[in-house]
Amino acid sequence: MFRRVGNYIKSENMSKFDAFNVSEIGASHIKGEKPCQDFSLSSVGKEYAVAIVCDGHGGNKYFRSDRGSKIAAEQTMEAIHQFMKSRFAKNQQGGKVIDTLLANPESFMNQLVSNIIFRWRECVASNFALGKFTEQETAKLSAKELAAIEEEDGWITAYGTTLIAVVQAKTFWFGLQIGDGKCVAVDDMGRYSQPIPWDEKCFLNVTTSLCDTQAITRFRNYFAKDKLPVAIFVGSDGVDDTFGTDEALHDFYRTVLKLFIENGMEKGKDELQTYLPTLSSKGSQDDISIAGILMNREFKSQ
Amino acid sequence: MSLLDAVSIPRRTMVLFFLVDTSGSMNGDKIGGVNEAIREVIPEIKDISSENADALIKIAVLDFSSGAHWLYERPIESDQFIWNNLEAGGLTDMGVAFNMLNDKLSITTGFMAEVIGSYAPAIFLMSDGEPTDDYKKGLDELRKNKWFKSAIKVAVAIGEGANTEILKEFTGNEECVLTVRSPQALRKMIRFASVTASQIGSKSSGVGAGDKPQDSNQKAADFAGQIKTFQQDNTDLTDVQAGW
Repeated sequence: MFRRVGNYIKSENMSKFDAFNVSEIGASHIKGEKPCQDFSLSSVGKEYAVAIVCDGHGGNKYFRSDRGSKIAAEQTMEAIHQFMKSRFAKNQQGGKVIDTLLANPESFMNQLVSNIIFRWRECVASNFALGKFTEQETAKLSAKELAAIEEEDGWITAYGTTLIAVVQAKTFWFGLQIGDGKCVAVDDMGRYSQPIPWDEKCFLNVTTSLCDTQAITRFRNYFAKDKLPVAIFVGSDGVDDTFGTDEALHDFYRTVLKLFIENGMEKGKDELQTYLPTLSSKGSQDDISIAGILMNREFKSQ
Repeated sequence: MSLLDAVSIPRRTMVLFFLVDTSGSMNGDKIGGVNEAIREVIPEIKDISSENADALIKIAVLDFSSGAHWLYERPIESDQFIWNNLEAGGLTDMGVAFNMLNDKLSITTGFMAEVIGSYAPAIFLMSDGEPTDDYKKGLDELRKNKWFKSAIKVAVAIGEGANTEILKEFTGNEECVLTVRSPQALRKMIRFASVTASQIGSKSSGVGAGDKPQDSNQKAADFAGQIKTFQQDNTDLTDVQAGW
């Protein structure tokens, strides 16, 4: 929780971080009797916090993308926990892994991404083995699409999803992303930015995906060990499609941050969750997920 | 603080582009018909835009003859758009027009900067003849443009002199090239194509249609389907004896 101190809002939570996640089925999905294909998770501990959103694709051939996005979020969370636990282990030179990580973050990001892709593919394979595609699931596919999913590994397309994950620790933070959706960071000067590079292959309704054969080459990342943000938001494309411009998106997150500062984490999250159906129906009509990490520090209330 | 009060959700935008051949051969009934038809259809597009919760429709016009030029510097909201009659004269620099369209179908240098996150545009080309410049190079570049690739595209061949092969290359779909041979058919075709492209292009897709990653292609396919039905129902419009 937060309390107001003069012109500042101060957290009453003893942890250094707070984190939240909310997801809501899109207005068009309700109309089309489709499930929510977004999934989000967050986690907060003494040493670091994690926020994840995944957006399963909506086309007919991605008919198990709700499962794909849930598996992606869960396996990414597991991979991140494992990764973060290992950072104080000794490296081959007798130093600490964390030192190697800080010296060469790109190499570690690649390892983490490989682990995430491996875990996701293993889990969706297990899910597929449990229940092969039914006639009902494939009824809307064209002959070409049907032939494609019957090829070796073609079935994985049905689980296609995007992924954005951010991790904030005490001395560094990083973000990983494949596909669309936006990650917005707020610095201590109140400046909003999107540090994870954009992939030009994501355009209008076309996105890269965890189900891509060369998914590893489509991941983008950002790593920083100085100037840690005071807040990081990740949102599925249902959010940024609603606001259109980066400026409008940043304004929205400014309002959300203000909501959390004024109302505290639980109440703020409830208010945001309650608002998501309106956001979807008046905006993109798509499923909407937002997750975020807030540093428990003094927020300037203005 | 309530988010309902604090958050303002902008309307999405779809731009309807008219590319009009104003070369000398368009003089007379042809350019007259185009002017009349577009002026008449704008109030209908305005109504579609105002009654549409999904998107605002903006209009951009590029005319080409000896060179090409944009009627306005930016796409104009349909309720504020004023059609100024185009006059015909000069060559058919279609390649120049394709280059200028390509420049504007860009976030960094063109019209799309203010419509990031918008729907794919609808692009309507009208021509009665053969390009007099190197159209091929311009079209090849244009066809690499992601906005163009995602757009609903339709072309009207005005009279028998129009090169329908080039128009097919432009639309990428034979069914989206409509040939008209009379002023009456021209007006009817412009009205139908403009209204239909605006209706389909500015609508949020149902999930059944596939909102990712084939949504734009689906809209183009829906549009082509409607064009086909319209032509089947209006065979008189393509009557070779009708006029031009």
